[in-house]
Amino acid sequence: MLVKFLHHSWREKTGELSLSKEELEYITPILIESGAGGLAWNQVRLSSFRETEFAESLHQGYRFVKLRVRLRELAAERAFKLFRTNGIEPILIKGWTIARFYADNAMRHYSDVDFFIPPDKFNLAQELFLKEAEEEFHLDLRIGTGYLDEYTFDEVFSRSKLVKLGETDVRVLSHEDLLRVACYHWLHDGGVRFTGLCDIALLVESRPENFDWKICLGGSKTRVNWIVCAIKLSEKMLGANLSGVPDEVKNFKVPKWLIKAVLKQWSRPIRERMYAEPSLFLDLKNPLRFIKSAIKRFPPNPIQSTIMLKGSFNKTPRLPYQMGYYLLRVRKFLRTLFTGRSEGYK
Amino acid sequence: MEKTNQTFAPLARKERLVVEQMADEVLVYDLTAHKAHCLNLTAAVVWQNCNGKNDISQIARIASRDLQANVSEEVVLLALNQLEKFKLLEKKKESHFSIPNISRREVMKRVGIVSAIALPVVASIIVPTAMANASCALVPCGVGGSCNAPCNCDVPGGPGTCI
Repeated sequence: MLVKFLHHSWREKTGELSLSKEELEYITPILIESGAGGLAWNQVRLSSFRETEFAESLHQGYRFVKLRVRLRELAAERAFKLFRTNGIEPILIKGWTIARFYADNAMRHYSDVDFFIPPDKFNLAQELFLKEAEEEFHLDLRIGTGYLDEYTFDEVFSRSKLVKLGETDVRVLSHEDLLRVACYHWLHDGGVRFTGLCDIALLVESRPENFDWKICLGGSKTRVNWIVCAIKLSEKMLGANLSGVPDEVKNFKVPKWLIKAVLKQWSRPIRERMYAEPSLFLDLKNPLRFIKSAIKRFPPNPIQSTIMLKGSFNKTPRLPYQMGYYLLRVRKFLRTLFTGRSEGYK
Repeated sequence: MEKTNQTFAPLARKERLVVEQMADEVLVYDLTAHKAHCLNLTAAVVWQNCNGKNDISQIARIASRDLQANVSEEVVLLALNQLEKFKLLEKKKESHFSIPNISRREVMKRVGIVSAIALPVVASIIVPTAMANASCALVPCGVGGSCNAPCNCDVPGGPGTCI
């Protein structure tokens, strides 16, 4: 039902809906809680269901996103001013940089304002952030390109460009890099966000004429496999238009397990799907609960497991990746427990 | 001496508000109270004309012109009541004037049930909980294990994941 609703959901709507009133009523809470209220309202507002109760809920979701993205836009503008007056030129990533391609920016909900920070200026940026940041800032700073890309900060900076956000010229990734990051980020999160796959479809369809696939599909073979797979999946599941894409993407065979895994994620209750599980550290005082929690974590998300173990998306079984990733998490847990130091989130 | 309705000139609050003008309503986020409100067109027109100079009858006239319908002073008062309740009006310390309470029912009686304009409505936008908290979903902890409220870092002091 959700997949049917999301089909072409990023495009301008005509008022025709593929779902019945009952079906829409059923998925409305899922859409709103996932931050897709705006995306859904865009579809429902022109339909005959506009005046229904569930449509009003979606409208509320839309209003909420509209204000939230406005707040984040203001935060991004302020952050650029703050960084620039201190000699830092960051690159704004994700969030607004993707939302701007939607017909209405409230179709894309985002919580944070994410930046790539030049590695040599990261400490200064952090200091400024801690000193100046207010509650509504919601900044997320990454050293260079962080774990989001194989390209270095200098490489992506050389391709970045300035675009207007309100009164400010903000630096954003090139379309090629933005699509790469969107694909990787979505897979890295285990494919839990259905809006993330809509982003990929939108970015593919809105790419400029001079879009350079060599850049987008550059880097290691594994990374290329990930990007190609995510793009092809956006066609397979949501109907993205892949005309003009390289054969490498067109002919990619999306493994069946991957579609199943994504559908499984999307059908999970919202809290389980969108939030990391509570830390095992919280269960240390209760051995029975600790064992239960540890067992519940197996098998981990196969998409995340593949990414974390730098595997490829192909038709081979995922269990070895899942076991490997589980062991990695056990190792991380033990290391943190005994040394007090964590390897962090990779 | 108490000011009359005619001389009372309400002033719209501007500070620490984020305002988003939509086609048929105005959305307002209060950065102090962290609350979001939605003003329908009638309430929005009244609010936008609260400049500290226009009195209630003038606001009614301007609103009638802008909405191309008869907006009575009762309707303006009803809007002001709600705007005040949601802290969208400046409080003038020197003013002893308080906006008289007027109910929707009273206004309906006076202006007639079938009115050419929608009665003013200021409503709170209820934030879906999971969506409001989505910022901690699978997000790495920040410096020193910081996370956006109400999330907490799974490893105290970080680095870890916001939960």
